[in-house]
Amino acid sequence: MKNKLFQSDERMGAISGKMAFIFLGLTQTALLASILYRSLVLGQSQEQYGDIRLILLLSVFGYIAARLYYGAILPTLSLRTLFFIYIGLVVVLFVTLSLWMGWPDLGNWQNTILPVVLGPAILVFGYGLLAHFGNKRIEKEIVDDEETN
Amino acid sequence: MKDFEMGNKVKVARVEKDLTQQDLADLIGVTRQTIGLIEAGKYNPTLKLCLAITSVTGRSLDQLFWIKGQDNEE
Repeated sequence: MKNKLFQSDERMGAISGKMAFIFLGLTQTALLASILYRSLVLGQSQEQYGDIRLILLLSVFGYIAARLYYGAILPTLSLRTLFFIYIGLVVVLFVTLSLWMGWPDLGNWQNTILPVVLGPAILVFGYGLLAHFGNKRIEKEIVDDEETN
Repeated sequence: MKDFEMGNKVKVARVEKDLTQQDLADLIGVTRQTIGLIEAGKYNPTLKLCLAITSVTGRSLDQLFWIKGQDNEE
């Protein structure tokens, strides 16, 4: 290792991971601050900072999804349970929004009904996929390891 | 997991083998700083690295590493 210009070992790997975690958090916070500044101070429209919002959204959800997938910490739920959770979320969201903003305008269903139906669907579907494939991945690793030994 | 404090005798084992920190680091494939921090108790090595150290120093795992406050602490 003496002649190597850059040496790396497990400690440096751990530090790299820790630093990446901190700076990812700072970057995401800065992006959020930028969105708030543009929106509240500069009065820009959503179209003007849509790109930043998309990057922040992908970064946050990508990070959470990767953590959940590689950690395989989500319990795998049956399709039936996922369906009931989905229905529950839609009902809660619909009732809450109706009480808060009034009965939805059915003529404008793309902006009133669709997000309430589609939002929870994406969440529940995403959860189901992450839980299923995360657990499948870890189980495969365990089985492969048992076969090797 | 409970926060156990770990003790070690890496420095003693290394000196007994007449190795410098750099020698030991080179034999294992880590940086000298990592060995220094392990000896100072400021870095918790992985089991893999602990085993590599035991292999080079010719000591067993429990001779080199232990949880502070337990029986095998001298």
